[in-house]
Amino acid sequence: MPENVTIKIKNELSELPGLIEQAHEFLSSSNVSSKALYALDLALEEMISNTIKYGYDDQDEHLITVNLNLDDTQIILTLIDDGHDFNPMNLHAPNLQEDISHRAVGGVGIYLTRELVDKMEHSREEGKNSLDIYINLL
Amino acid sequence: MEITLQEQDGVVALAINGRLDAVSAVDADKEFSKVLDGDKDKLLINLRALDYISSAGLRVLLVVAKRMQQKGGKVALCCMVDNVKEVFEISGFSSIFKIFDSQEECAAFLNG
Repeated sequence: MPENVTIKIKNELSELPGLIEQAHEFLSSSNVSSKALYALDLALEEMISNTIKYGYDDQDEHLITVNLNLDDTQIILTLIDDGHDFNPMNLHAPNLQEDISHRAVGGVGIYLTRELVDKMEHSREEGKNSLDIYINLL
Repeated sequence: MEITLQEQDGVVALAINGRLDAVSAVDADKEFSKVLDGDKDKLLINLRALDYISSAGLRVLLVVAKRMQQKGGKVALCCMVDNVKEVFEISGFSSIFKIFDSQEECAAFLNG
């Protein structure tokens, strides 16, 4: 049976632990593999922290809408923000071959998420990014 | 997240428990800095009880590796759970670090 929850958070990193706790609570009675749960946590953290850090020109408070939709086979996570137009699918993969001294500090969060989830779709409507992230349960 | 520290035969063994994410990375960074500011040059990081690491956590470990390399020391990791191992492999971090299955092998490498 499909289930659904919507959570709104402010554009602050300190909102993340509470959000992840709510997401786990929502999924607690379902048969979700630890791999799927990891992919969900990573998608939430990497995508939202990226929006918080780079999505806005001002210092104002913004709301990010997080929707979780669960059916028998998958979780669909939808993130909606009013930041810059940004499609994470267009980002180049980082250079993963460089050694320690040359390796850039960071730049792997979005790449990791893209690799761990099953599908991502971005759209831009009415000045807002909408990102659908699909994660298979098993 | 919790970090515990032990020292044996000149090797500092650091165990990270729980989740190393964008929020806990700040505290982890401080704990690692304490060790790196000291004179010890062999650092073992045991990840047996690490359930989750994100790019922010990987960034902390990368900084540790860079600083240890600069001071001519050695750092090695051991005992990753499968989900964490996959993140290291996808991100290319498994080729940056020496990674062992057991703490004993890891310590032997550092003392070798």
